[in-house]
Amino acid sequence: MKAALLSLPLLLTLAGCQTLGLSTLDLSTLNPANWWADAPVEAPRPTLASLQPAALDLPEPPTASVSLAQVIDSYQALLPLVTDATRQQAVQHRLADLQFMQAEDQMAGTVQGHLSEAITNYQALLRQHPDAAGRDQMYYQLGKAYELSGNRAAHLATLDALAQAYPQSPYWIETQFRRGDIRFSEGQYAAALQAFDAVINADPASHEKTAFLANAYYMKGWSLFKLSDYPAALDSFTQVLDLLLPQDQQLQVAEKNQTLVEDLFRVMGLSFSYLGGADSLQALFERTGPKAYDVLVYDRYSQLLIEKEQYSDAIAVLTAYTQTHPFSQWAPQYQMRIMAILQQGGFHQDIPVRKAAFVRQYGINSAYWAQAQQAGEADLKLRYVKTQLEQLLPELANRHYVQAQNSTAPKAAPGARSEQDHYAKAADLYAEFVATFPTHPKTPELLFLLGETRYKLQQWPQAIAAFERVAYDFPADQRAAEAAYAAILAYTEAAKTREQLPETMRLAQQARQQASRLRFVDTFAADPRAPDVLIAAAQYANSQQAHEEVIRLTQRIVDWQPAPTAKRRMDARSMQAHSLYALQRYPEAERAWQTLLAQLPQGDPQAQAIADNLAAAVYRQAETALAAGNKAAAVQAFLRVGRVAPSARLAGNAQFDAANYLIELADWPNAIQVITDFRQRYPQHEGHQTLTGKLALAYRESGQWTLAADESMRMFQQTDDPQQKPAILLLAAGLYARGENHAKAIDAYRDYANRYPEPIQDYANAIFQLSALYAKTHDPVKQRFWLNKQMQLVEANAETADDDMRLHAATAAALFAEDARSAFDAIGLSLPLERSLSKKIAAMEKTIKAYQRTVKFAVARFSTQAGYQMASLYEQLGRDLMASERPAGLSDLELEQYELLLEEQAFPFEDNAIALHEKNARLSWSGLYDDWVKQSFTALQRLLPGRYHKPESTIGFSHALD
Amino acid sequence: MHWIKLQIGIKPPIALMLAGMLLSGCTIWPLNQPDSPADQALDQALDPETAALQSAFDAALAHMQAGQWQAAETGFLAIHQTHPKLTGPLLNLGLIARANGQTDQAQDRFQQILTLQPAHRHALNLLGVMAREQGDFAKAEAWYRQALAADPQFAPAIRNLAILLDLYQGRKTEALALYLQYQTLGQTSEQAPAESAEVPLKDWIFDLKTQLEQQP
Repeated sequence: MKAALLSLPLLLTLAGCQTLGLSTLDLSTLNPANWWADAPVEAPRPTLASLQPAALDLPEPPTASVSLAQVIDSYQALLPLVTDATRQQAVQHRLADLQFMQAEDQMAGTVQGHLSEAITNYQALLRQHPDAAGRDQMYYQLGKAYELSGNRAAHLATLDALAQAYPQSPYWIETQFRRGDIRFSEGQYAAALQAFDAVINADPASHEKTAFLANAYYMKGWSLFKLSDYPAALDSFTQVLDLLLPQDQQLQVAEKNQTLVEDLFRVMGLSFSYLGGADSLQALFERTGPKAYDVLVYDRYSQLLIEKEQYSDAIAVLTAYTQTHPFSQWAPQYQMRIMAILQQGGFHQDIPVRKAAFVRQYGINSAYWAQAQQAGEADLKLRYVKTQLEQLLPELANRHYVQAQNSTAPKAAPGARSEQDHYAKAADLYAEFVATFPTHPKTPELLFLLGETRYKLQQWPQAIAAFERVAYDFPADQRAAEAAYAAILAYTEAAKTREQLPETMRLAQQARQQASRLRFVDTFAADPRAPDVLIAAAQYANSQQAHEEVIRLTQRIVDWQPAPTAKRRMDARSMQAHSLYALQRYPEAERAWQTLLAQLPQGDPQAQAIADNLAAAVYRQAETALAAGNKAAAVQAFLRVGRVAPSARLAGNAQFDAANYLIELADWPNAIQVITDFRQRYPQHEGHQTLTGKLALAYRESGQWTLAADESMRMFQQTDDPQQKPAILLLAAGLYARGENHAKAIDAYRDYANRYPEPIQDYANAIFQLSALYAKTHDPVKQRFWLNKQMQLVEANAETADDDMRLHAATAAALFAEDARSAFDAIGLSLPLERSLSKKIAAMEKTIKAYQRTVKFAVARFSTQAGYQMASLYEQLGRDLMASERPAGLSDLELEQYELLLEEQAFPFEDNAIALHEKNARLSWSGLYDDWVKQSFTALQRLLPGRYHKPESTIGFSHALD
Repeated sequence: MHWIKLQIGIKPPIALMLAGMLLSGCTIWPLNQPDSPADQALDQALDPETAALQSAFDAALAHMQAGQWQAAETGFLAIHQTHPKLTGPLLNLGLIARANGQTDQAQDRFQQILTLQPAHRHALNLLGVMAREQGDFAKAEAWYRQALAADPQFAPAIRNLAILLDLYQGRKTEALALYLQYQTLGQTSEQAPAESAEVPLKDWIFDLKTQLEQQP
């Protein structure tokens, strides 16, 4: 104790401050010896009874500034010279002090002689000058001399006397303190406590109190500790800390006080232990109120417990701190210390939970973190946390990830985490790391792991986001390409359930997926998977009918170096061609398909489909030309279909269309060529039959009548339409006729006449044509057969027969009348006249009937003809009669009489002739003035000139110029 | 211009007139009364250009009367081309065309005349005859009546209208009146010929009256 007490001045004079440095605490360095000043590290652990306060740093008495020996010499020289008792006393007193001091200086050399001399002098002084001023100091010094000389009892008695006699002395407080100190040393703790309380309760303005106050509290605490009044002791110790430690978070403590403080912590720790541990700490600070240094108290106490291997208690203390100071910067450190303790104590199984709790309590999502940010204390509070999180987050996340991977059962045991739980936890931790350390070197790796866990959890959007961050926020990272591709895979997986989403979301996802593909290709063009991804992007664009995009993407595939597989290139070209087609860029589509077709291996099963597409592209060009009104160009395009893609299913249609438009263009030679070729190539084409009519038209329009007729006959044979068949047959017959193919024309017309008696107009035409054809083929019998049919037809259909039918019938009748007339003309009037005349008249009557039949058909031309012919028939008979053979052997008179008789016979015929001519001529009165009427006028001029020979008057020439 | 003088001074030679009558097969009426030779000489002396024209016309007319249709046509065409407003060449060109069966061309020439002289009686009469020949009796009547409107005493049109109505229209009463007018005109005017073998007008009138009497 003496040594300790003596060391106080030294401790108190130590300059500078030192941080107690909680952050520097290291469990490995915890050593009870640290609490003992100057104590060797290897010192044995003290027992409870041996616990003693640390050496106190008490105020130092004044010291001489000049050589003590010189001063003493001076005083000794002076003393004989002083006569005044008071001054002599003072000099003597001073000389004693000096000698004491000199003795002190020489204490190490046990200069007891000096002390004894000093004691003697002080005692003499006190005896000699009972009323002298400064007696308190004399006592003080005397006590000190006793103490130095080892006479504790005298020392205490001196101090007791001083304390009792001089309560106002400046030495009183120190005296009380030293009294307490001695009492404490002697185990008189209650007395000591009383003395220390005297110091503590002294006048607050006293300078001496200030100097001794901390020590008084300190020693009071110890006294109480010794008296087992731990709460009071702790309260007193707290007073010491209040005085020695600044009231701020820096916890700076003067270096000189460090040992004391540490001793305090130690004794406080012991007190806490006696009081039950962690709760007592909380109780203490509940009494005292919060202290800035309370962390030190917790800290040191916990270390103390650890040293004692009271791990649970230590953890409880630290936990208590974190609970009562959740936002303290030390709270996370204590959590870590708890884990270190557990580690040290071998309680490994609790550590992961603690680590997880640490993340939860102090991680980026914690209230702690938020509070630190809000309070502007991020640097102070979060630096340590981040350091820990940097390790903990990956560790915990990886642990969950591995556990998830090792989890074989789909569902873990009750209460345990399932695979999904582990993945979910891992994902959260990876995500937290990434959020906490966005630019950390490990961030790409953990982001990738985050993506993988989200992927395992089928949390596609989150997986995609993580992978894409790796890929595109850290493009230089070795995982970037893999991550980018993984994002694409995640999009693909997400797409499998995309149908369940609302349309707007689904479309948005698709768009993002496409953007991801393209970003991959753009960013990681060297990746061997890039062409495949590009193909997928093109396929998607194709599915969206984004044809411009498809063209652009597929061109990239085609141009890709190193070249993708042939199949890929062909897929790309195929899509490109489809899009070109969809955009109506048909010429380009055609080239694309042709390129594709050319690159196709022989016998490839796709050849047909490609040919079909190629054909369609060309076919569309034809349609485009049609839309522009350019039929000629359309025809060329239609024909080109067959040339470029002869196997295409559309080839037949194209050629068929070409044929039709050639017909429209009246390009008959080419139409014929195309149609005949079409027939050979596509005998099964559905348009086959319709081309027959068109070919017939082409033949007809190009003057190839028989071929046209043959086609028409083919149509006749092909068609089952009862409405069309007659017309077709009639057409064919007409074409044969026009082609001068009389035999076939007759066959066709006859076939028609036999098949279709109605409608009568067409039937009438057919039989008329038959009669005409037989006339041409010089078959008068058959001609007249059909002529007779024509007359019969009109006679049987008098009401419905049209003008043509009546004309033809009248023509036929006129022919029959001419036949009769020819027969009439052929009969000569020979003797016997009666017989021949009878024959002739019979022939005439027959002829007249024939003409009358002609008149019945009411065709003006044939009526006037008949009228004229009948008149001429009578006139002719009259003339023939007059020119008939005269009987031989008649006398002149008989001959004259015979001729008179002839004239009488002939005149009626002439009268009949005139009457008939006049009847014919009078038709002019109603405006009919055809050749037969004219001829009747002419005949009348001859037969009845007095009435009808009336020449008109006209000028023959003009001899006048004007 | 000097054409005005020509209207009064051009006379065909008598021989040519006779030849023309024979060729026509019809009754021919001289168009103008010939001026005296003194007047001709005077006009020609006054206008050598007119004399040349007249000479050309006469030459063409001679060809016409000789049945030299081609030469006549060429001559009249030449005159017509240089003097398109003269109706004489046009009338002869029309007559030549008619004589050659070129009915349309003849009618065109007569129509041309009417554009120059709408009341040209002979052109109107000729158009009427041609219309009758073609059986267009209404048009024929119209032409005749147009000629008579121009000259109510124009005997050829009266006779021709009477024949049209008599034979071709059966309008016997009207025809009789016209025949009678024609008969009267022949007795009072040189324009209408008197009774002749060619035109036994009395017989016509008698027959016609008989027909009318026999009508119910």
